[in-house]
Amino acid sequence: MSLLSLVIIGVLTMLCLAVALILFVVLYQRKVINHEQQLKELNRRKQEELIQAAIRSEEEERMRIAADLHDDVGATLSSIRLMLHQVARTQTPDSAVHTVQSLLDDTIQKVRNLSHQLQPGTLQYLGLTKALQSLSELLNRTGHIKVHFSAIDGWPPLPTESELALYRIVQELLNNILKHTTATQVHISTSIEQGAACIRILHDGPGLTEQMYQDMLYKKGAIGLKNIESRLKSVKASLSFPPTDHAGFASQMLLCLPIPQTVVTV
Amino acid sequence: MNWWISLSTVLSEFSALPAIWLGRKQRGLLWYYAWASFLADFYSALQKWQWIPRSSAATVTNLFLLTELGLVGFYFLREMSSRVLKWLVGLAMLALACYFLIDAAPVFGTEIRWQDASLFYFLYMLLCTIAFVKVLRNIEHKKIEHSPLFVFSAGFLLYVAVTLLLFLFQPQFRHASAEVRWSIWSVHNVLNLLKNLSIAYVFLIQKKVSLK
Repeated sequence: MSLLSLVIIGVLTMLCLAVALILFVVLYQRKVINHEQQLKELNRRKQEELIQAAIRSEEEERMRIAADLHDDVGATLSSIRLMLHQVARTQTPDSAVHTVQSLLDDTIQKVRNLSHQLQPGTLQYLGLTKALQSLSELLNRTGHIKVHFSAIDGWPPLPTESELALYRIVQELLNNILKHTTATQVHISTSIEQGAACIRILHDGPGLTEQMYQDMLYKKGAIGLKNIESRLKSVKASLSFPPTDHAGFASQMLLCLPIPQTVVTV
Repeated sequence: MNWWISLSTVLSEFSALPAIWLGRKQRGLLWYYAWASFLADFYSALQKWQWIPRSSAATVTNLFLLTELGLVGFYFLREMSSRVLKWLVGLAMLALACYFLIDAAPVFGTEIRWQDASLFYFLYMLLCTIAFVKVLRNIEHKKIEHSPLFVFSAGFLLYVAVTLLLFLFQPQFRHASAEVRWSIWSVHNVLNLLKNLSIAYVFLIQKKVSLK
């Protein structure tokens, strides 16, 4: 065998070995990264499941308390009220009886409101738009703020968990408007935008910007906003703060949920 | 065939220029190594064109081999995380450099100690393998081609694996014809080009990282 062919064989062998080693490193690193990504994905899913489980258990607890309040405490109070009414009719009306009666009326109303807040029956039986309308009317009755609600006709039927999450988010956002702003007018509307079911909240008070919202999420406290963020993540919805061009409204919040493929819009 | 050999030789001689240009702001051991490669290759080109006498070829090559050991060895040493390994490699480098100097001293200006140099190249192969282990242990980049240590080690390993063999066969090449010798060295030229381009790519990705 000539020197040249010997060297060529040697060079090729060394090259093959070096290339094999490099290929091994590349493939092994890719395998490790894939494995790590799978673990991360698994972790993310687990976290999502945990959030959903926490929200579900919270809702179940709320439902149980709401049912207890409505069926047990509410019913008992109503019976007492009826009995007092009976006493007031048959015997000489005493001012104390009237006072107790009025107190009971007040308490029954409070229990009803509390029960409604914990588990809105309207949402369960009539859907999100009716529940939002009912929430707006409830807020209007307080006299502190004027809430106007308008809904589109073709609002898609969404999964119960998604509707409940959207309702709770809107509830929290309205609560924040009442607590932290000087707004006197609120306008809530529903729409379908780019394949997503959206709820737009406009108000005339000073509002949040995207940056402020993100900053507040990482601050201590702000439990309401953190709950909003958890709920958004759990149903894969988004909340944005676009600038408003509606006259008379200084701030705008846009809550959007991509319509699931299984849901057919009307 | 001749044009291929000439082309690979010219490309190889100037292949360190992109690395020198791209690394001019970052500098570091690899940048100085690119300079050393360029100067050694340019010197051999000047000799080939007979602009300077061939008598100093051995001195330049011996000096380059020692410089390469220092720069590349310290580059890998700096990248190692194990203190024991650092000590072992440091001692091996010192021992090899001392052995090379003692062995080559009487003929430093007239002869190139190819067999001694092949020991350096064997050490480089080990260092590249250790570098690969480090890359796999501490995955810092999602894409391996973004890891400067991996890119340099891969390019350098290909160059070293073949050059080691050429150094070992060097005494036999003396009896071969000039055409055979040039054909064999053209393979070295291609891999030298690849090695220098891998250094240039290292500077390119480091630049991107620093810009981010």
